[in-house]
Amino acid sequence: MSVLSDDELRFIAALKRRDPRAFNALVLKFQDRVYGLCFRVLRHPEDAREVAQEVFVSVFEKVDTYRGEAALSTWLFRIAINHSRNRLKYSGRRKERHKDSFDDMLVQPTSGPLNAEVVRPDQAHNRKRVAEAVEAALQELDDDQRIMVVLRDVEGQSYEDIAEITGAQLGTVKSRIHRARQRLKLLLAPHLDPDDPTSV
Amino acid sequence: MNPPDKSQDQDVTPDPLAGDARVQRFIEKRMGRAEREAYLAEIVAEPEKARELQDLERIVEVLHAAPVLEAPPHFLRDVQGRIRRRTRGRYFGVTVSHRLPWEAIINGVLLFVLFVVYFFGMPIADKRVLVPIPKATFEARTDNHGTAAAVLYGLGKVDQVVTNGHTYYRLVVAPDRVELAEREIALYPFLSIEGRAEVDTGMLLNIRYVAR
Repeated sequence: MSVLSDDELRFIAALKRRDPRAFNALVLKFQDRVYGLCFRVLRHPEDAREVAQEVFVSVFEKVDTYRGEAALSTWLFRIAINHSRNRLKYSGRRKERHKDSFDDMLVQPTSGPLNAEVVRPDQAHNRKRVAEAVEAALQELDDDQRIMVVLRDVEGQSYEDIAEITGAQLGTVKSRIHRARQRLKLLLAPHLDPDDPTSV
Repeated sequence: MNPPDKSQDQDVTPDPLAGDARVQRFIEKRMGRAEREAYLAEIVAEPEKARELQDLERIVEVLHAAPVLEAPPHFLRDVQGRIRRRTRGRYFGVTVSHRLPWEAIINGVLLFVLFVVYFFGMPIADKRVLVPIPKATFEARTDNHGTAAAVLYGLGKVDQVVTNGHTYYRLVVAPDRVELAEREIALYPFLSIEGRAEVDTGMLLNIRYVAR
């Protein structure tokens, strides 16, 4: 049973016809999120770039297999996670942290896709510092924990969708996300400032 | 991908929130206001648990605020290129503006070939073009000072002749300007002077000067 609206169904139909305008719109809409997901999973910008591009190529090639049982983003992220895992499996960079600044990749350093809070200018510097600490802490997580907590808390996917994306049991998803958050709490403890509500 | 590691889910670190299914709903702000207040009132007697909840709540807030990472420049174009190569140009094929300018390349090659043929095929001007030696007459002149001049009509005229016991002459020949090397010639009566020079035009000149 499809969970898509009529507009989404028409869009999917256009994708299945290999309508270039529809495909271009899909890429433009999701390229940042797919790339961001791949980067946070792979922890390397070049790998993330290649994998993210391959994700959309796979979408183009396999869109006929999409049946609308899950949201298009869920299906897209599942492809992204599969590609990323394959890259992690065969890459020798699993333990290599990307140490370069990711400033150039930031679109909105002070807000994320789930946060519509207005940030005062004087908080921008602190938020940027915290963002960098968060990215560094994410890189310290185990691969599965990192994937799941990013899908949940950064991309806003539901637990059920994360189970669908990762192929894990729902209980395992919840458990690993909880453990990931606890681990992040320990890693980000030095950045916790109880007196500053704008800090971590 | 990491093999399934169940130890991740059975952390030995004591978890004050273990077994509480409401934790995730609380820290993810999925509780209604009343339920949230009730939960907070319940855990007020458990400061460790309350602190853990607050910390986790802030972690989730921070993750929610994680910045959007921008895809690299020309991302769409690169994706299209991959598809084009993968489908051998069937999809996202290059437009005329992107197609290699084969016509321009071919025309350029043809022009180059023509240029080479023209440049190297042209007969090379023989610098040593033989000019028919015109008939010339000369008029010997003498003056009272023993200065003699010779004018060769048809060949040009002697540019300068000065005698002071020696004769220097410079012959300028028209139409080609031919300059004979200056030669020092001793004047002697009835001396036949012949000069021969091969200059750029390959003209052979026989100059006979008879002094009187």
